[in-house]
Amino acid sequence: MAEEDSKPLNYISEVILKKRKNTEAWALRKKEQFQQKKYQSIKKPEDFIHEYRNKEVDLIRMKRRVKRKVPEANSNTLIIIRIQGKKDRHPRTRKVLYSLGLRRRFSAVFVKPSEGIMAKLQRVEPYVTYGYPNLKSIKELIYKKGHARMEQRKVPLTDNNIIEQELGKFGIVCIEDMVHQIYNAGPHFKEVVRFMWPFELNKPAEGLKGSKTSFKEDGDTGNREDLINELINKMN
Amino acid sequence: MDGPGQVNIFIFNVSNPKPLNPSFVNTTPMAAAARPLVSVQTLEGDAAPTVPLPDVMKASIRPDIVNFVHSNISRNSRQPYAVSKRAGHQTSAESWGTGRAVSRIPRVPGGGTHRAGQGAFGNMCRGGRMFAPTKIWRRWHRKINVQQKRHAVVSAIAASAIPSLVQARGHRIESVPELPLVVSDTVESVEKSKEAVKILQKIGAFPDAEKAKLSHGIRPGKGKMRNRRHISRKGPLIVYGTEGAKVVKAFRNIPGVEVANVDRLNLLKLAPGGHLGRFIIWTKSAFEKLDSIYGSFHKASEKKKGYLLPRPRMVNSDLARIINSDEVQSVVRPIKKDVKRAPLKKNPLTNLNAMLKLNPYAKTAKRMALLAEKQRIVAKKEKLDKKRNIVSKEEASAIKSAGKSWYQTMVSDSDYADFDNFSKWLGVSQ
Repeated sequence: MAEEDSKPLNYISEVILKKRKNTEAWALRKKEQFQQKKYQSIKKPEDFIHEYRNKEVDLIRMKRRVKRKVPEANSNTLIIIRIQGKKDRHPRTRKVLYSLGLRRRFSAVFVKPSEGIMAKLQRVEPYVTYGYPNLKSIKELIYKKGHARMEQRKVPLTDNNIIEQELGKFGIVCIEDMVHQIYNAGPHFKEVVRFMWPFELNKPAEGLKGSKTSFKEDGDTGNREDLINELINKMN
Repeated sequence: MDGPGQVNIFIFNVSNPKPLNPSFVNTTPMAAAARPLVSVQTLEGDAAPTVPLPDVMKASIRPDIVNFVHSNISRNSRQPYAVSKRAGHQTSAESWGTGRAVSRIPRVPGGGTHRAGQGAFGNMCRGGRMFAPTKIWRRWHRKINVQQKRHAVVSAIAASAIPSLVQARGHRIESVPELPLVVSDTVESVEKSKEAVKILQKIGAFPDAEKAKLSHGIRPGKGKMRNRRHISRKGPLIVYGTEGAKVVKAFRNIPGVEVANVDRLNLLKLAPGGHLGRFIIWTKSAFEKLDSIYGSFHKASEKKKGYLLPRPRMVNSDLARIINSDEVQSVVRPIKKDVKRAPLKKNPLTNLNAMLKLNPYAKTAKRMALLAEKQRIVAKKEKLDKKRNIVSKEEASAIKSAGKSWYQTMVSDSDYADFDNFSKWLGVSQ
């Protein structure tokens, strides 16, 4: 038998095929959504009524919730993640969310759990989740998603010079100092948090149900304690 | 609607008129402080005195206003005319009615002539009435705003100072020394046309007058039988300043030459046919009066109450020249050639270079982690070896030889030497 030249079989990499499949599925889903959206371009009066009633109910529930006991936190540092609330929250709730720095969905901030902060968290409990971050979560968040607030501009933390210029007078000259201040709730915690832009996290593929029930009652919101780190890992 | 009739306006068209170049319109620069000077052409050999250029020569040129005002002014000399109201009705014609195999048009009565029985009254009949006979009550004349008229005259005067426009209108000004052309006041005392012709020849204006003379011809069209038989071109216009000067009689009979007083300039002479660029010869006194008659851009006229020269919206409409001028370019910020864009943010958790920029200790920590991992692997291996009781090579070889000898012993015992003991053991009795 004549021996043929042994050539490697030409094949497409599995990763490329998988990516192609995902892209096609995404395109089909997008097209379907666009067709549905065209039909629903007009907002009906029922939608307006529903929206306004939801806002009113939200205010009533907030007033009831305020009468309960203020929750407590057993940690030096809290991380608060806003997980929902776009059209169905009252303007007063929005004001509290904005004062915490949570202007967007899936934005997160570090806070020191004082009594005032806990009272605010009680008011906006159906829209946020919070917990006790560990060193790994804090470090990874600041390294990957950290941005500085300079003259109302969002500047990525790509260099330690940015930090030294702004926080050098507090003895904070590098990003590790920031991590240290936040993890230990140091004396310059407030300056560091003000220096940073709120984190903008990704939507987790799983882990959130869209529920407003407390995490202790198998929902999404409220205090997760140490389990917040799993959620941060998914959203980072 | 201009119908046929006797119109006493003599409007001559310019032969092959060139279109006005738009760059000439509104391109006369406005002198800020010093006014340019114009030489006065003397007839003797004296030194030429100079007079300042009046501001009216620098006014903006508006062909649209000049054309409009000229059309309306020329309508104001019309006289009413119409057909006779009895034309076509001076007969007692009546229709014959039906039954005679002819149309029902009114027919002339009587007999014995060809006229009898002919149609009458109708506009299609010979000798009949015209359709809708014209009446004398028409809108013959036009009202023109005084300001508009003044703007038109000023525009025409300004255009006469631009050689390109004057030449484009068809005037022969090749041998004229300067435009606007100003002559001394001795011209105003000239009495003889023979001397006037000599003056025109001396200042170079005679070729234009000669062109007008040679262009004498018969008018094409029906104007020949309506008292407009002959046509000819326009020549120079003499403007004098002294009332009752004898220059009027000296120049007015030269073909093509017209005369005007500076106080009573007529648009129909400054821009014949509504076309700008008439060749004007000014006397010195007339030229000096222009400032008081028309004023300037900032001072009102003395003769025309409240009149200010019109100012263009843009002094210089050449926008490209303005932008590229030194005054503009010296204050303009230089071009930004270096575009500053935000640096691309790498993920420090996966990109080691980005991590080292933020945390130089990460390299040491990574190395220590690797070493610790290696150390841990070695320690685990030792612990496992200790639990497994590994023997040395000498012991292993001894164990191996012992195994071999035992194997030989087992192989050599196949003879069954102690068969009796074996049978006892089996319990067999023989």
